[in-house]
Amino acid sequence: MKIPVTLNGTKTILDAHADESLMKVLHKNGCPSVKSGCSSGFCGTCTILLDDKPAASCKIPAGIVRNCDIVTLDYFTKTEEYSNIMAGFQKAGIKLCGYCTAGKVFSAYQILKMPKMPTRQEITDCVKALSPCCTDLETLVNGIIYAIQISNKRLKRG
Amino acid sequence: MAAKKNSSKANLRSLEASGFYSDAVKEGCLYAALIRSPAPAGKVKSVTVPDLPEGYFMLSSKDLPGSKSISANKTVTKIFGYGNVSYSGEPLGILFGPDEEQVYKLLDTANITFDVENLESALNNVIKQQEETANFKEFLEQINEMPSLNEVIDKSHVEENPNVVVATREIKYGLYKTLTLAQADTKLFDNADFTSTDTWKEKLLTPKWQETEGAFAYTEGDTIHVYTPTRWTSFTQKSVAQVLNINEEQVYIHKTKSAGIYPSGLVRTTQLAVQVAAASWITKKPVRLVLSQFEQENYMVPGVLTEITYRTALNKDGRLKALKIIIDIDIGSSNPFVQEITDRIAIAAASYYKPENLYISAKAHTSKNPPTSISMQIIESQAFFAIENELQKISNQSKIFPDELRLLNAHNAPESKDFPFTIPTGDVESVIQKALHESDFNRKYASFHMEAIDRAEKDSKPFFALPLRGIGVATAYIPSGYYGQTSFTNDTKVEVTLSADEKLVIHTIKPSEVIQDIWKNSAAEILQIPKQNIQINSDFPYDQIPERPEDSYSSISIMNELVKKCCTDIQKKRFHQPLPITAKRGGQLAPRNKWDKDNFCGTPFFTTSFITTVVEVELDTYTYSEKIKGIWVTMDCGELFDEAAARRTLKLEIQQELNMLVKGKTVPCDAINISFIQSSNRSGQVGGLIHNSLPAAFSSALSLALTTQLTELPCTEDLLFQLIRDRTKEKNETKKSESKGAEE
Repeated sequence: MKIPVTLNGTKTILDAHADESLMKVLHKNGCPSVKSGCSSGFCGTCTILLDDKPAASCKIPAGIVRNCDIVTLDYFTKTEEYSNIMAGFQKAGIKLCGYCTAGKVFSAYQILKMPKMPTRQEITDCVKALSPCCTDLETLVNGIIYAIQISNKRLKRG
Repeated sequence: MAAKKNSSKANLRSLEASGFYSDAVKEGCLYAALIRSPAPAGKVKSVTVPDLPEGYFMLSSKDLPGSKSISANKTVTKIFGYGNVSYSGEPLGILFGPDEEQVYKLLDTANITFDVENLESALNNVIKQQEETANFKEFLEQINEMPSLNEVIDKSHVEENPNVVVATREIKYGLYKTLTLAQADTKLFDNADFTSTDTWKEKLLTPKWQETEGAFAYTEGDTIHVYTPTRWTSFTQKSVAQVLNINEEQVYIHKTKSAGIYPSGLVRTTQLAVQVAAASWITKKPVRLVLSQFEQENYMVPGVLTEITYRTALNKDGRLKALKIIIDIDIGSSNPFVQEITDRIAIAAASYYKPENLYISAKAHTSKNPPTSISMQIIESQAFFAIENELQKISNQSKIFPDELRLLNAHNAPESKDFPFTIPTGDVESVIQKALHESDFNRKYASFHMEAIDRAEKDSKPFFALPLRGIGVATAYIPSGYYGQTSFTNDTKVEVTLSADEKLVIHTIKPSEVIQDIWKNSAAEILQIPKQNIQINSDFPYDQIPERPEDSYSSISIMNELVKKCCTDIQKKRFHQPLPITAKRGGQLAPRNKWDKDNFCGTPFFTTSFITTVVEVELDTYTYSEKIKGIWVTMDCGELFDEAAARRTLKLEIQQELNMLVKGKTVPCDAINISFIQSSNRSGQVGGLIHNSLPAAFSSALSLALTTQLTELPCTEDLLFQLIRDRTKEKNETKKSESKGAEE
């Protein structure tokens, strides 16, 4: 089945079975950041931005993403938001293992996009289901708060 | 000269893990899946896949160009099963092709034929003999002389007993040394003030978020490149060469990161790497195999299955009169490290306690379960789970506070002079007291305990309106540098070179980033050079890769001491001789005679880190959902190099552990409190301490809340319901018998 999508800013036609998980299709199509984890949509290792919203690609059949805008971490690393998030993570002492990066970065991105300043509890609720493979919850929440601060500072400067 | 230099560089192999094997890409990659045995026993006759489309391949044992099996510590592992099947799910072949979905469809059509001709051949043998006897009378006469069916039947398919004891360890102390087992038991338990008997089981779960095991391989001319999360590069390299019948020089093992929390990366990982390497080598195409979550959970289980039975006798004064420990270890179909596992569990079964009389009998046996492996950080965890729960149980019975009981029986009890083990723990008393003080343990424990007794005596209903509460404590150590190694010779080596431009290169296997940082800080301080001038190099010529698994290099204390000694050596020579200066160190740091390998006694470890964990639990009796109100952790790991990093490690491990306590869900936790005590003990590792202590503290707390003993982890809602129901049933029966007695 041919599935036309915009993958990482480029119009592409994915060749996949309609019921194949989007995670597998993207991984095969040169997006190594989309990784296989719990396959239940919780751990976050397969997170992508589907029409600018974080989504667990392991639970999405490839057949339904026709004409969607897909951004994976491989491409997102070139954005300013990514730099802000990573700066915040670094400040909190987070050293990501590389397997869970997509889930943590895209969750932070979603929080950064919130129209109001989230409370610590709101941030915790957003990220508590992510895999605790390399970063504990408290440090991750600290990293996101730092990322918000850095992002706000840059916005003010801009 | 230049050419020589280049060729030697090409022969270097990096032992630094980078990237993930599942991310390795090559054009025309084929996707693989393993054909597994559907039966736990039987003789495999053939493995075929009918109607294999073009471009798809299937390999089994007979297709391997070299050795059909690999051997580690005298344990043979078949690359693909042949002959008798060892367990259900044993890989019998590999199926691979360009479309992953199609590979899985074809996998369902795989035809595995087992030898079922045994009875048939036996009858044939009888008929054959019958045909030879033409005369009926003669036949009648001879019929009694004929071999019986039992004799002619082909017994080659009959499995050898799968439950073979492969390792044992027996430890005796006190009366168990002088009397027979039965005599000692009678003397110690018959008149004891308090006794307890229970069996404890802790099953280690596989977290679902990790990268499942597998490998990627491709060929380039006469070389093969294998990407695998191995932690035993030398063995993987040797095995690939043996099975493909090529020189080790032609094999390039690219070590990838392991996202698992109980990394093993030893024989089972090597088996997968060899299977993929064979597929790639024979077809000359890149091949990738990624195990499914189901395969990971069922065939790559972490640790071994243990059942530890304690019989405890306690004096009124709180001294342990006797500990009789029977350990049953199920290693599955094989485990090359079985003796070391058995010994380490046996040592940890008594923890740091010194009872007046001790008997430990540990037996490891094979079974029809999948093979198991060793994970250095979690070997002892099941033993700590058992001993700490047993102590909590007898503390409840004797009404002696858990901290008092522990301190009374701690290793520094004066009367325990010839005890077989001396565990080098730090300041046990301060660690226990601090954790208990910070959690307000004794007050809460007394209050919950009274409430539990009251509830059990007055109300036998299984449901209560208010949530049940309980608090539990557990202590544990994690050792560094085990002296009684049976699996490997100790070839820990460090080479440090200071060059003329004041750049320092530490040549050894790269540890975790935290430990790298600690090494760099130590070296920078000793040699007075900037930290950024220090590099850690993990490149080795292919024929000089260390023979030990890289996992054993994680012992921070030994390696840190070796790095420090090398730097001190350089500093001494630095101003007397020209640069570059190289210093080499290796081997054991402490004298070997501390541990008597023959008599299995002495100080078994170089150092240990010690922890006390307190857990307060709340259980909703309507939903059976557990909630942790607080976790208090106090740790002593000697000199603390990086407190922030240690704190992060502990918090992370707590969070990981909260995922493993109850099957299928994460136990929420309101607060985590961590504190440190720095004793004069040698610095030890932090990783693994939580896994050794938190499960026992959790189950003790839950047991107190439930007023019944939880003997296994991970727990399930069904198990909790069953425990409450059993307790109620027991209570009702007691009531009935009491009222019957009163009527009579």
